[in-house]
Amino acid sequence: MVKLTSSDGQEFTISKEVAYQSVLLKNMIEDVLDSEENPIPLPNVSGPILVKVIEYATHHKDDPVKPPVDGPRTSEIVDEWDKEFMNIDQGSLYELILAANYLDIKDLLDLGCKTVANMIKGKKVEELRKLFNIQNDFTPEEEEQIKKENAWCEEH
Amino acid sequence: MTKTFISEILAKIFINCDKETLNNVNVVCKQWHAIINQDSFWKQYYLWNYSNQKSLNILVDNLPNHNYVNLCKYKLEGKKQLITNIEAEDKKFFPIFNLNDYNIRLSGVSALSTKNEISIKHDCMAWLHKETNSIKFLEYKNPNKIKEFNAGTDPFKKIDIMNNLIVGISDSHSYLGYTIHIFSLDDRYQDLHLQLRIQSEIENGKLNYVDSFISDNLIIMVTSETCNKPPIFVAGRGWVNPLEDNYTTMIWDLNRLIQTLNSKNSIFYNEKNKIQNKEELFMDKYQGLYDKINHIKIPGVYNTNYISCCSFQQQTFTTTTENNNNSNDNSNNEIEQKFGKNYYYIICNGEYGGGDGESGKTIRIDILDENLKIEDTRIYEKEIQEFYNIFNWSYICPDGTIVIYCDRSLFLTSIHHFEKKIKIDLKRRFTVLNIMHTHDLLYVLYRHYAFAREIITLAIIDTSDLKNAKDEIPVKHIKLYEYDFGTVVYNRFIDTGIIHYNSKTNQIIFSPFSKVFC
Repeated sequence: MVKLTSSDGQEFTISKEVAYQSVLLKNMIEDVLDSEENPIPLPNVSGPILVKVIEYATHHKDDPVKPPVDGPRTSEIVDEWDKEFMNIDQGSLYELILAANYLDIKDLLDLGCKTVANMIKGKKVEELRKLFNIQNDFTPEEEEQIKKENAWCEEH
Repeated sequence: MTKTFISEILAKIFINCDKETLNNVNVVCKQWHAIINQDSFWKQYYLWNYSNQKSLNILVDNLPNHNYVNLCKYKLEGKKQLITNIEAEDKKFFPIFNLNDYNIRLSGVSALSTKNEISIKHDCMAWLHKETNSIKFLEYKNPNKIKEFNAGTDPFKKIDIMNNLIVGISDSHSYLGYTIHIFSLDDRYQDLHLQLRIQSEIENGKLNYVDSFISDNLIIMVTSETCNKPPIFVAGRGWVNPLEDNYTTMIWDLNRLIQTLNSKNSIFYNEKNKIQNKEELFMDKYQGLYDKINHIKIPGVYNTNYISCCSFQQQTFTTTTENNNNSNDNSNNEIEQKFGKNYYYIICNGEYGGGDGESGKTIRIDILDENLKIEDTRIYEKEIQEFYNIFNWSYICPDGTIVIYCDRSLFLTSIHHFEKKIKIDLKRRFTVLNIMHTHDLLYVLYRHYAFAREIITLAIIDTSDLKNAKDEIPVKHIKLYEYDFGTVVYNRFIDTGIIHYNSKTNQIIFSPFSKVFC
């Protein structure tokens, strides 16, 4: 078993099998022999998000190694469990993606990015700025110029 | 989302986006704009979305302007944009290789059998050198090192480049049989020469070559053999021994051979280097490679003239239901997306049933699995009202669309809906040179004659129109090249355009479909 401590001091005990889904944890466990006794600190992951990460890693721990994709990629999330798992508020989604990136859990990171990609699909520029709370830092001239450069993707 | 993602994560999000979303993302702010205007982003986008497309992968950085940015933009283009260069008045062509610079001439290649005697790709070419009955091979990046492959005196009927192999089909002078010669372009196997033979099974029998097709790592050859049927009594002639042609289709699958030879750990390479008496033992080593070539023989009462094939991959969805106690709870149902194994369509046209010698009435499609086991056979028969129009040649696309060319028209149907037929009247005699089918468009390259000139035209058909069409379908005809009768001309589609050679200019040029590459 492996002990983890979240940024808010919560302690979690998980099996090595679950922990090994994270490349970061795998490397740390292999480096630190007594990880069962000494909890691994995860200063970038809060308790509630670590719960989600553990839920994901536990659900997918027995997944077979995925063969290389031999077909067109799709941003559609096919797995119903994954879809339901990602049905969370935007703040948590953001934290979860950062946690997946930090812990180096590729499949969870891909899933989070796909979820955001689906969220922004079809959104207009202003809607995107609002969704991500982004200030427009282009001058009107610059914005006009970029729109002209986008001619390659305009349908004629 | 109140915080900002780091660029690395944003890039991972954007590689899942479609064109319209990327277009909007580009204008949101300077950080986002910078991300999607980096070459590294488009490389990531390409690898995420298109890297399974093997034929496209080999073009990256190997043709003019074929960088990751342009390839992605091309793949993201709409149907109308896909052909912006080829349909323009001032269409652009890019020279790929000038044979004059190296004093190379494809002498001896016949204008009428170009497609059998030359194989030109975006980075290399092979041609039949009739004077020495050898196959010559040239890589454009290494033009001073022309490789030559010999196979004795039996004349070659057809040559091709397949993966890292050179394939040649030769004819024994006396109709005794045919040999498929396989050479390797890999320097590790310079002396590899495999020979697959097909011979008459009847004593003193004559084996006639009908047609062959080399594609998708398969070699298909159709032969016919004349044999005597039991004597029959014919009024006025007495007892006669009628003759019958037995047609046979042979299919050789080189996939495993290619896999074995390409393997870095190939024992055929490693053990060669350990062996002292190389020549003798190496022959034994190569002997083992014959086991890597799967083949089948399809005998049948099917008189055929032409054969072609294509591979397709069947995508399947499997639903797995986990056993939970609440039968109404479907939350644990999982849909697993699987890309099924490879299948092949082998299509030939001729006459099913044999007998009266008329051809061009039917088309037979055998569906083979990856082990060359016939899973299904479908027969498309010409209707009476089409009787005047015989089937000259037919081609099947990976989605099952069948293109049949008759004397003055093309017929489109599908293996899934034989009842649906679309006729494209070209109002002139023509020859189909090449067909390519993409998700969006069907490209048909054809040649016709006008006075003493030959004209090559590209017909473009929107495949979504095909699904909805009842009788007619809009077709765009774009004239591409015109030259004197008898000029040796070669044209071949690749994913992003057309490779063209003609003996007058003695140059290989590339015409991109889209202005993205110009």
